[in-house]
Amino acid sequence: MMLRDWNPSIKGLAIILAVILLSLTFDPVTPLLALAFTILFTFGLGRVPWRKWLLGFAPFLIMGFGYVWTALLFPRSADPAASAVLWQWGSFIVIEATFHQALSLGLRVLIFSALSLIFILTTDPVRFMLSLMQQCKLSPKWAYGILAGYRFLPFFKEELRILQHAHRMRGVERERGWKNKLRAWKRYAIPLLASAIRKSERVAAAMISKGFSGRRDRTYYTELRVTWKDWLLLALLLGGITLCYYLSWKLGYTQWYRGQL
Amino acid sequence: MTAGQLLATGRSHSASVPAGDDQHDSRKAIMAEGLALAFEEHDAPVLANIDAAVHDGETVLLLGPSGCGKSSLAFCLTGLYPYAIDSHVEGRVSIYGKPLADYESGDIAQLIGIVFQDFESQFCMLRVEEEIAFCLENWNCPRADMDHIIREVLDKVGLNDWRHAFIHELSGGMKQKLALACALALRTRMLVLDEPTSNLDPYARRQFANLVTELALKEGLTLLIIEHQLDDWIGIANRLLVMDADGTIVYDGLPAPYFKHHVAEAKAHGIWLPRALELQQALAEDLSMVGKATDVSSRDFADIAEDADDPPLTEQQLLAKLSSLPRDAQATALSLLTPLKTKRSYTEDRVFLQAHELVFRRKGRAVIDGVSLTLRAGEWVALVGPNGAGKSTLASLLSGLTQPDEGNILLQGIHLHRYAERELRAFIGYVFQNPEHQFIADTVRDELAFGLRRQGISEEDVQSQVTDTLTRFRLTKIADANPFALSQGQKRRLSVAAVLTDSQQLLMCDEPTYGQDAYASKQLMDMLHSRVQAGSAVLMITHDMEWVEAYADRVIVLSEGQIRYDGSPASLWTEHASLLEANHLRMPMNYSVAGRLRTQLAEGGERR
Repeated sequence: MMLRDWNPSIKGLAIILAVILLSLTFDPVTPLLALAFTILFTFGLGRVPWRKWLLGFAPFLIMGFGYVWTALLFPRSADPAASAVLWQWGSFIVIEATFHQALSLGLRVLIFSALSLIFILTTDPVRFMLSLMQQCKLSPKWAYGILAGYRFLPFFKEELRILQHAHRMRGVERERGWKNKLRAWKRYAIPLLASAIRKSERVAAAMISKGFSGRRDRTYYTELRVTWKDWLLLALLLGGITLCYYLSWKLGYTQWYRGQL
Repeated sequence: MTAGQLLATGRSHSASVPAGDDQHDSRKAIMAEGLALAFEEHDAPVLANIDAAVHDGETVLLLGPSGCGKSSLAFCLTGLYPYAIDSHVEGRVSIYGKPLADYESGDIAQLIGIVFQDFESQFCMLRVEEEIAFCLENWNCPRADMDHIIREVLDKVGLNDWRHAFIHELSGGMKQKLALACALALRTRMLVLDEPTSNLDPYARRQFANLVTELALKEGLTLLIIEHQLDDWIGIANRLLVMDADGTIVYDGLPAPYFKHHVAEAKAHGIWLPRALELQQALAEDLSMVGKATDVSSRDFADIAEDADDPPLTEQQLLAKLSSLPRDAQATALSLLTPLKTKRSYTEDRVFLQAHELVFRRKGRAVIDGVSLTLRAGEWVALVGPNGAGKSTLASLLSGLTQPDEGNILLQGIHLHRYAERELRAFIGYVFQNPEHQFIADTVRDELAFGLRRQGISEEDVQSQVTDTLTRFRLTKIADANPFALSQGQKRRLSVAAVLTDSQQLLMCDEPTYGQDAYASKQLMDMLHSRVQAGSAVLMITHDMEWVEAYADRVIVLSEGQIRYDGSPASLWTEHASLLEANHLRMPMNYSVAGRLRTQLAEGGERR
């Protein structure tokens, strides 16, 4: 539950700092340790349903694997003699340095996505916007505008479904080939855009009719403050990652990123 | 406002004399002089030369054909134009005695609240509580007061149990109540209702109207109501403003005289008449005919058509009028009110479509739960039920757009999924709720030709058929316009015309009269009717029981994905009345008046 109550601005800051910190290394061990720590952090401090987490993580897992694979197939380090050969199949040679590099790249994708998932899965969009207004002095015009837009996303999905049905009903057959697909998108785009513009006008009118003027001096029903607990969580996340660095350095793996690739 | 005040006549009804409490005469909530509105500087104006006023404490009903600019007028009067939306407004508007321009932005919101037609796009927060807090924050309400104000206004509209619920999980009726609560939180003195109930089921519609009436009375709110279906509101209206298609005000005065002297005009403008009035007119006609035929007490029957009185506008007034007739005339009226419809004889009795035990799940929940039904040739079937009952889902299953999880559908004895897409579309047509969704081509002409060309008809024939359709649907003038640029009524006509050119045997219509004025709706219904008579079948989703009563041969009540009733409308109204409220339906007025009249007659008989 603690992660949900973490002030979204501080949470965002902590995660950005963590990402920067982890982008400094180019060995596979540090991100691996950090990944383990992040997962522990996520499930230990926030009641995140594991199915939801896996659903969010799965695409990155595939992406990470893709990175590893490409890095193996097209190695950049030109000198195979400098490092031990791990595996050879015909002209396809995998040397240790390449392997480490590939792993490091793949794990990077995973750790960054695991960190982002902390934010995505434990942050209420309304609290996020409120915090941006109250802590980061974002203009209410933007904050409430973004929230109103966020509300609409599911409607567009629904509307696209209806459009597809309606056009099928008119006898437009399923699009084959990229040319027809492109034409189909044009057919869908116009009504979708028309309704988006209309909806945005309506919601703007509704907001004004409720007295919204975009002024910054407004009272807040939910006041978000930054307390020592927020900083403690930040320290915990960054401290944990520093610890991972220390461990991997002790084990002799730490390797700074010096613009490889 | 009592019925007596409503019926009070004999005065002259110029705009300057408001009906109702006279002590409010001096206070004008809204004043407009020489108001004109155009969206582009050199375009034809949407509104021209409007002089109108709304007095404090008054309830004003704004009527007009669809697309005449009713909403635009209301938005001009409340300062939304030109502030919120780019437009050119001329003339003077003042609100509670102060010119619009002198208000700080956001201040008008504390005087006038608006409930919009599209209940989805009038909120910007995710939860009920947050939305009301948003309104409170806008006027810098002290934080310490917010909690109890939120509780108070939610209590007033009966949403306290949903305080922490997500707005998107509320039903349409609840969303409109939330919009009302927002206005209350802003402590407005006036409410503008812009067709707030046009997309609600009959039960939610009446509930909302009752709530507004009650609140207006308790809080002393001024009301400006825009609504096509005026039966729920006419009873509380002190004054009518009627607009014509050109965006000018053609009537400003008491409701009763308008419906007494301007009925023909109203009909020509496509303005809905109160159902009570329509019933009275029909009765008067029938009664005088009966009177002539039997030559019995024709003088009594003539009473009902008497011109001296005010016409009845509400069910109550119609009932009162009928009760004042002599007993035998009442009995005749009773039989005329609920005529036994000659049931269509299914001479061919051809079964078009047969669905057996359909189940359709969404996210594990059965949206359609064991539905079996049969559609026959020459049948008009109405599909009714509360919002969210699964009506649209059922229609899309029956037309083969979505596949059922269980059960099967036979179209002329063959499984639906064994048809080729092209064959299926040639047999089943679908009129969607929003006409824009159906448009494919860039011009009206091509839109109509699209279906024909697909049937492989020669281009000459296509052109002649299109020209024919254009004239029939009054679309000739705009044949080369883009479908999206048309007015609401024209869009609806085009979308129906495009479907009807395809000569399908089975037509599904999803609330085809939504947002249409009286004229357009009637025309659409007649068009569908002629298709049914030619042997097609129509399945129409609707919330309007008056249409069901007027046109449907059969009505299916769907609730929570299950069929609760399948049979004739007449027997639903009379023998299954308990089903009505449970499924958010409402008896058509002729049946409810007849029912009450019958009870009165019976009671009178006992007393005697």
